[in-house]
Amino acid sequence: KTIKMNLNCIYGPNSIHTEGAMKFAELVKKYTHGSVVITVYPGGSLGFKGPELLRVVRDGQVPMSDILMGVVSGSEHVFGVSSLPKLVNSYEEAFKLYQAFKPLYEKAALRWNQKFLYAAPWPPSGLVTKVKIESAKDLKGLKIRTYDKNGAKFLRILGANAVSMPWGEVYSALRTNLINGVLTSAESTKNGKFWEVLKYFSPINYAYPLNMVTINLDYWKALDKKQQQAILRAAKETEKYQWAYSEKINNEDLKIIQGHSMVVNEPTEEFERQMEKASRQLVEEFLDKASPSEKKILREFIK
Amino acid sequence: MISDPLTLLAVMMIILFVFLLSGLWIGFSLFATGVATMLLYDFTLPPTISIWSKIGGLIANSSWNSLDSWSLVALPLFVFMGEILYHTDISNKLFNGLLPWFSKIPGRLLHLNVVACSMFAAVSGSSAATTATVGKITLNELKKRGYSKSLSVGSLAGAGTLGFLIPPSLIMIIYGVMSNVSIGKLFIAGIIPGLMLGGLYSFYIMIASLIKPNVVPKEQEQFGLKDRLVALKDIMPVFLLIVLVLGSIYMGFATPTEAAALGVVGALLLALMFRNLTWDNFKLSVKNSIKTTVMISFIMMGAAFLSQVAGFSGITRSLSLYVAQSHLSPYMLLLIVGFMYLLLGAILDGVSMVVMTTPIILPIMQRAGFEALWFGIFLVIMVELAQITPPVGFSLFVIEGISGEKVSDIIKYSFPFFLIMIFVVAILAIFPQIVYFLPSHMIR
Amino acid sequence: MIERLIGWIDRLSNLFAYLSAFFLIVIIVLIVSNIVLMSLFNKSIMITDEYSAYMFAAFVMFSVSYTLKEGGHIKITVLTSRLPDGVERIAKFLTTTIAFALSIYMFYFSCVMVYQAYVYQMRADTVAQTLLWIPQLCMPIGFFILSLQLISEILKVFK
Ligand code: NA
Ligand code: NA
Repeated sequence: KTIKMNLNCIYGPNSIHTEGAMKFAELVKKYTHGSVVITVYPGGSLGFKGPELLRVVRDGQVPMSDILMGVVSGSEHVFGVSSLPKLVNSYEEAFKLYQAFKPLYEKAALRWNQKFLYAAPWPPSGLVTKVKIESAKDLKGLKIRTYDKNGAKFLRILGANAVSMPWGEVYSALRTNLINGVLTSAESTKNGKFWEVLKYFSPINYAYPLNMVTINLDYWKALDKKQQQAILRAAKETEKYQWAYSEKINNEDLKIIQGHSMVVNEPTEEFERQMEKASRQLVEEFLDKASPSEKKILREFIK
Repeated sequence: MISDPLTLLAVMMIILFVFLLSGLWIGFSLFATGVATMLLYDFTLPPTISIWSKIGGLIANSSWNSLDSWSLVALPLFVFMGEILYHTDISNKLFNGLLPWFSKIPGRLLHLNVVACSMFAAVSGSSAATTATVGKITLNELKKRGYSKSLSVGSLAGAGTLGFLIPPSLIMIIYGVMSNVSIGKLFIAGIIPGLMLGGLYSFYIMIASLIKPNVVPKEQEQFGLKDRLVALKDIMPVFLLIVLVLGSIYMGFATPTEAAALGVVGALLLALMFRNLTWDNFKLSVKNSIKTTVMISFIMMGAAFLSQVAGFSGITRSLSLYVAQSHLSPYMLLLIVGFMYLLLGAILDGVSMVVMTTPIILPIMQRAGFEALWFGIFLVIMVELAQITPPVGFSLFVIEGISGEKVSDIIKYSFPFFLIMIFVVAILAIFPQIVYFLPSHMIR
Repeated sequence: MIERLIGWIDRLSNLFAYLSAFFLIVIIVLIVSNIVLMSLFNKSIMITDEYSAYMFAAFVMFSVSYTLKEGGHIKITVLTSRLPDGVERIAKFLTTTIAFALSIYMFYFSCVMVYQAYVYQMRADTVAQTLLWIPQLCMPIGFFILSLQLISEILKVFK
């Protein structure tokens, strides 16, 4: 008998993580010879969208979900690591950080009655603005939209005014100058066609936030060994593919937005130093609340 | 136990109709139907999870998620604004001010709903808020003055839905994010079809009142140019309010939701200025805003839950896939897709319709040669249609809430306007340039 | 006795409607302050959107029962209004009982939701990182008074 499972995705059908989930579902079907069929539901259409996802998967309300780790860091501290600002500066470093923390991620998932399958990064956020940003001085007084506590603090330390606003309102707020910029990736800049309202993209590599896919442990245990093996194989392949794909698409997106006459300006050394300082402050705050094992790994990593 | 989604859809429709006709409140009917459908669906659950707690968890979560929404906050604000205007002299003034201007046009003040809705649509992002605000001001006044009930209620139902087509628009934002179409382009593309729709509504009202003169009151005063200019003074307050709300958005002081709060403050100030804001008026306005908003929101919670049940059990997916797999000519495909949306629109709310079908239907439409921008406008009109089709039609409920007319009558009255919307869809299908005209001229 | 129970429940619903009115006013004040701060000082009250949404949820949940009492929730009466009086009464009793069962069901599971949010100290993914059980508390409270009001409505059927 075929086993059917739903995989909940919070982002739209064209988002890289939803695409990844679809690829994963295909591979699972292939490797289990059709004995496990996963249906992907994009856009939060199953009614779950944020911090409740860990609990929702734990209780089996949906058997599997794609989860932005930062969103559930309020319930499980360690999932906040990947959204710390300026901790890593490239995909390579981001992957190292992921590998260092993977055992803790897996343990944390188990505490929530789920098996960690794979994780992949969003393209890194940059500063997308109307005016050119060359140092913290240029940020002074600018109203920049951000999405979480870290982002707000980071911008505030650098002198900007952080604004919180739902994504759907960002485009028109930029158009009317209600806000002057956004902290977001080249991918979102492209998807939002922000060249219509903004001019500069500063690739500061703010963070490489991870999305993970997990499965409820009861559903997992109901599968036989062969099926489990097949799913792990699919997860491994998807993960590998997604990391490469995220990097590839980020490079392409940067070219695309330049093609629409946006200026991509690398941050100056001075600006890098200023951001480094802001980041250290936030990382220290994170460490204050961290468990001993988190502390150990993170200290080791930033050494 | 039913495992075929299309059979389940049929059963779900039947259950919903039974609950609704039994006189169970609409919100509760939606919840009850959702629960029943989940129980009937053939889930493969591991032994540790009971179906009852699965449904319970879903209800609690989806209810919370549909209420915890920033864009919904605008709803009570716009309703409150309408209430304040209605309970003070301002709405009366608006009527007196507009009367001389409409006196020569066949149908006279019956055009008011169309004009006012088009204006408010430019302020609010949702159809429910537009319908509620305008209806609160116009319906009673039109009735008092002896205008035809069927035309005034019908035109409100039709024109109120412009809230989604004329920017800003909640539905367009959601679609834009899902389809990668520029939200700015969508907004601009909605303007001409929106005005066209409004124009056709007015045209219909003119024809109807020429054929049946008794739809407007008998006695007709004569107004000269001087009367018209003097009357401007009475239109001023509402005009200022619209300038305040729209101005704050387009000058970059407020987001559309925030602007709603400015609208409330503006309405209160106007009422104070005209010295007819009594404590009783204020209390009554708050009371009615609570009732209208809560009624709509409770139904929305039920509709969100039912939509998710349709998602979980694969109903939406199967229906969309069914359409996708039948190989048809573009126009035939459009016809079938349109019909499918009418069917879905009968039971789902607009947001769910867009979220659940776009990923499957849009690629099919693009393969058949329809552009994503055009399809977005088509989809918005389909959502608007869903607002006035039974059994789940939000505009119908809103109008019943503010006018006390029976839902069955409101459906009857709005039918001609429903047909006009279908007609506009057909026009847009034949002349897609109408959609592209403004965006291609205004945005690179 | 029954009269007094009905009166007591109705007053409770009224009381919570006042709370809703309070939230409505606070939402307006909060948003307008944010607009003023943004346009004069370029500063944003980072929590406006988040807390307005919480207060909106409370606004709705606290008045679901009041709206029921005032006859604000819509139902379709095409069929039932044509039934003979006695039969209509039975239909009303049955539908109100179904609504009551649903309301109790939703009360229980919103308690579960809030309890778990509390136990796991779940936080919103926003700048304020609010503990979610606090705003979510409006759900069980709302469904609780709604259930009481439905009892009152059932009693009213036979009055
Ligand atoms: Na609008
Ligand atoms: Na409908």
